[in-house]
Amino acid sequence: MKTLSLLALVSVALGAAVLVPACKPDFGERESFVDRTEVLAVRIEPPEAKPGEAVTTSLLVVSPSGPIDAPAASWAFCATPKLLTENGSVSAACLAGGVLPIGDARGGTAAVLPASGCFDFGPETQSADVRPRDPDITGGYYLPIRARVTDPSGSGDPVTAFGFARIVCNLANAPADLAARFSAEYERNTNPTLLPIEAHLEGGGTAALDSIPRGARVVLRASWRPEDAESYAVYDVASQAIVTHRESLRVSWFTTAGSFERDRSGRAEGEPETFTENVWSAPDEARTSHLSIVLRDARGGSAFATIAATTR
Amino acid sequence: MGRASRIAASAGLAIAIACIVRPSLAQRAGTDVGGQPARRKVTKLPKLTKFVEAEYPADAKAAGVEAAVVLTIEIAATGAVANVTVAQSAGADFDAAAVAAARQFVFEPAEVDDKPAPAKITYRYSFTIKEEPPPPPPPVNVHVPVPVHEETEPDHDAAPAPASPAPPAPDTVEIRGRPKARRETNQTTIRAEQARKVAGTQGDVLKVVQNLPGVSRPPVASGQIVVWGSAPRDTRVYVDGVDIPALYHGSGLRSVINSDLVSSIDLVPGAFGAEYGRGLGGLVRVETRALPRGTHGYVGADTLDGSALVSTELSERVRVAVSARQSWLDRVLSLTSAPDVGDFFPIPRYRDGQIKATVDLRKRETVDAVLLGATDDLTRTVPSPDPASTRSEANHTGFWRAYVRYTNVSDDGDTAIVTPFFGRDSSELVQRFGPTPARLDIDSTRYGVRASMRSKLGSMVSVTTGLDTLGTDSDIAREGSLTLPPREGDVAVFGQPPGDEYAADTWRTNIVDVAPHAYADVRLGPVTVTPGARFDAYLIEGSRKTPRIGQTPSIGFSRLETAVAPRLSARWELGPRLAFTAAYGTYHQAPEPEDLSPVFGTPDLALSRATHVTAGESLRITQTLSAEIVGFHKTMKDLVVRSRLANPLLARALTQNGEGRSYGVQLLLRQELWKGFFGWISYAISRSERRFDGDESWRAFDFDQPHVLSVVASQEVGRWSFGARFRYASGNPRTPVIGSTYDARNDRYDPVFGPQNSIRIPAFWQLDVRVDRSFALGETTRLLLFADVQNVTNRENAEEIVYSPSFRQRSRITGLPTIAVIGARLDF
Repeated sequence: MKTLSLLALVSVALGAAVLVPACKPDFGERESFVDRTEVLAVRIEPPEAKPGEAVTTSLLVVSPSGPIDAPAASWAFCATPKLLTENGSVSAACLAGGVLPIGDARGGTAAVLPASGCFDFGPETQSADVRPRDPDITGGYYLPIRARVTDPSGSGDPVTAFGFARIVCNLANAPADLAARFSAEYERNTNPTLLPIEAHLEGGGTAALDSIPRGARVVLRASWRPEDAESYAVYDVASQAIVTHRESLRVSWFTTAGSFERDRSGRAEGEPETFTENVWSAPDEARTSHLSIVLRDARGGSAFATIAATTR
Repeated sequence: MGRASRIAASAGLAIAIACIVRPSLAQRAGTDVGGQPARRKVTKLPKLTKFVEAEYPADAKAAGVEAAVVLTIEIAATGAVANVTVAQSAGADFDAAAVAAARQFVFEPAEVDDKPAPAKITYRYSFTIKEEPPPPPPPVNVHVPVPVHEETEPDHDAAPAPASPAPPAPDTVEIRGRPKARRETNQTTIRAEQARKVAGTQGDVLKVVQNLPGVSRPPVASGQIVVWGSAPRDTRVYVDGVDIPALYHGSGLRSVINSDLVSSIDLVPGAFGAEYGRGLGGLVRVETRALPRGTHGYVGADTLDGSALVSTELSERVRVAVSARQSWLDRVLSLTSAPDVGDFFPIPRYRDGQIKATVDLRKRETVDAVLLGATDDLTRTVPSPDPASTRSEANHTGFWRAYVRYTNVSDDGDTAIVTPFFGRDSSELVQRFGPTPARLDIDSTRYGVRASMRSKLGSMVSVTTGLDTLGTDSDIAREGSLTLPPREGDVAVFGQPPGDEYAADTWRTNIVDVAPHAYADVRLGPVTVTPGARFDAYLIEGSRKTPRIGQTPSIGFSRLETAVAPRLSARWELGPRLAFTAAYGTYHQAPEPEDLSPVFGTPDLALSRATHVTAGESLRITQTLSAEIVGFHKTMKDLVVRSRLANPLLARALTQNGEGRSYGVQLLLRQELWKGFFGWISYAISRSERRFDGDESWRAFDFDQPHVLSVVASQEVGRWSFGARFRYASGNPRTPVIGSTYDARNDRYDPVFGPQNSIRIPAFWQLDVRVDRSFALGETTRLLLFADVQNVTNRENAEEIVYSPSFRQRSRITGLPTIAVIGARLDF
């Protein structure tokens, strides 16, 4: 990394400055490469619900040898909101005892969202003297659901992941008329639908996923329905008005062999396309690779799929 | 007269030649002496018009013993002798006789630019047994402060005359364009000309502050100043007594003031006097230089930027200087460097300019009008096909100040200075991490006046009274996460996205501080005591006490916070070489306007407080070699920190539960200019800690550096100058990551942290060298070429700890490798 660039050497020759880059560490770690048992997605159905309503959860867990069917997990609601001093998504207490256990289950579970959700993780407060919590940029509040997944191989520590149920709460710090209008206009989020993955070889030609040439570059397309990029009302705290936004959608790509050109891709709010593409370079050996594709919308909805691709 | 005592004509004559020759040498070389332009004309040296013969000590005379006493004589602008001290003793009898005689001397006063001026001379009084009476010799080693008030501190610039004729040293005439600022007990002063030659500063005078004792090493590409374990924002920077927001441009590569307009720079890391306040940390004082007569200037360029200055004499009474600078490093880097350098060390585009005009109203009465301005701009975008990974940043900061400084020095040395000022600070920060924006805009109008009157009450006491006022009227808009911008004490890792919570607020504040103050310099024999006190009355107003809800009218607030800050310092001279010092003071700091938001902060924040205590010793080993050791202890209370609650009360996101302490010892071994060489070794061992009120244990302060060592050396050889700088510093503390969890909504890992600030970035050391050569291109034109090579050993210093996306791997970002900044400047 820390080398003199040719231009820098020329600069020296010309009596100018020697300027070389700082050293940026290369971990050799791709987010899209699965080299250990990982939780890739926690799907909550419905993705948005009121406290007291039931939701179901499901997991996508993948190991280097492929997706794990019905992985065993210990589930719990996070019961401790994070402090203002905490920068992450959840309170550190939710890694220890600050949870409300749901139980152990394989693959997923069903549970009723705690009734205190809007007080603990939303904007509602017991007293007008208490500062309401801030929403995210989509106006949402989220109740963390912890999944502690045991590595089926028995090696290593359990993998901890958090899914987030978007909770329906009253608006805080909003005039009553706007709050009423918001309640009337807002439509809850639904999970997007990931349409079948399309594949073709780069440069043309269809790609049969069970017979991909070694080292081939395969263009994969993940698509969703037009209605999956939902429009939704947001109470904009800056303008103190209700505005309408459209969901962005992003796709996370994972593989157990070969490599993706990009780890993530997607469409921003202003992009009308209903697909995103990525290039997967097949391994140079004959083997079966497991590709995982996770589609997420801006309000916490998700869908996922796994496919096997065999190189010959 | 028989065998009468007389001044030794031979020695006196030799020294007189030295006095005459030295200014011309300095002028020809274009050398700043004492931080001032040598071109400033000493139009007349003080002339002895009434010589009084000393009474030869009878015993010595009988024994045929001859001797010489070197005296320091302070001469008022009237020509009368104001004070006489012994600089080099020849024994008690000879000393007493010489002092008694010198006190009766009368001079024609010195003149600077044809105006009578107070002066300080070094006078060698020789007792010889001769028959013939030679005429009295002229003085030697003239120091001409213009105008001047009596200085209570030892004048470290004054050197006793050599016992025998010696070649003239370059630093013998000192010209000051204004009353010298009071010397603080813990002050380190660097002359501009020396500072310019320090390796690693690229000729920037003010960057030398980073190498002074008590100053922690700032992160690369950072202009932060951390002194004695205080937060960067707790240290105040003044130019001619006027507060400015920062000493350096945002990159830390350059200071915001042209070096050729700087006379001297003082660093006071703590326990400063009553003239200054509003900060819990240290003090940096920059004095602009007096403008020379005639037309002078320079044009310079190097890898970082280009700059120019021109000063001219518009009339007999009016002189003006204009300077400007424009950076181009960002464009040079884009040509010669890998693009990823900007990911870690973004280089803003900076520019600054200054205008200074001096009007001589009457004798010893001047008005300086100064306009300062500087801006920094940075725009960068890291695009990504993933909308959640796109990052962008646009940052603009700038300020300007306009001030008028009126100075009046009476015949008896009483000095009045009044400096009204006005200006604006602006800061616009827009960042976007994926979909979540972060914005902080601050636009402040700053105004005030600093006034002081120094009066001498007898020979032992002088009293200074003053008024220091500052008003800051700010309009602020902020949106984004509470955790961005970060605060000291935040637990995060480098590059970690801020929380995705989103809030917004706009508010206005007005903070006015009126601070009358007074202190006295009391000289009690070898002890000088300076008691003082400062009374700060802060009017703190805000437009909003609670968050805005629709069109509901906002409820503002207004309150008065007061603080009395006693200050005390003392210096005990145990002889001409050894002195002990001690200082104590309490300090207060108003909340920052951006912390008074009812959404992001707390409108009810009060003053933060600190107490400084220092004790030290200074030893003059030789006339130019000195050693200092200072121990310090600071305690800080009511520091503003984030609330630790999950759901704090409304408009209470920040609290004043922070406590701090720092303590340590610093040493400075300093060689003043001697045979073309100067340098220093500074070392500080310290500890700075913070805790939340009620916590049992302390944690390391985010900028804590227990060991900081700087070695600076420079040697002139003819027209060549060589310099080197070595720095060693402990790494800043960091909080280790001991695990991670997966956030399935944002598709990223969050770190799980270990004990806060329990590990450190590896220690830093670096060697920089500098070489320059000057070429005379005529009578008054000079070309200087220089090369300033940083990190000559190409050491891979760690600047930050970073983690892989899953936090399973830890590594380091290393700083810039070998960099040569090559430049040239043409002086005329």
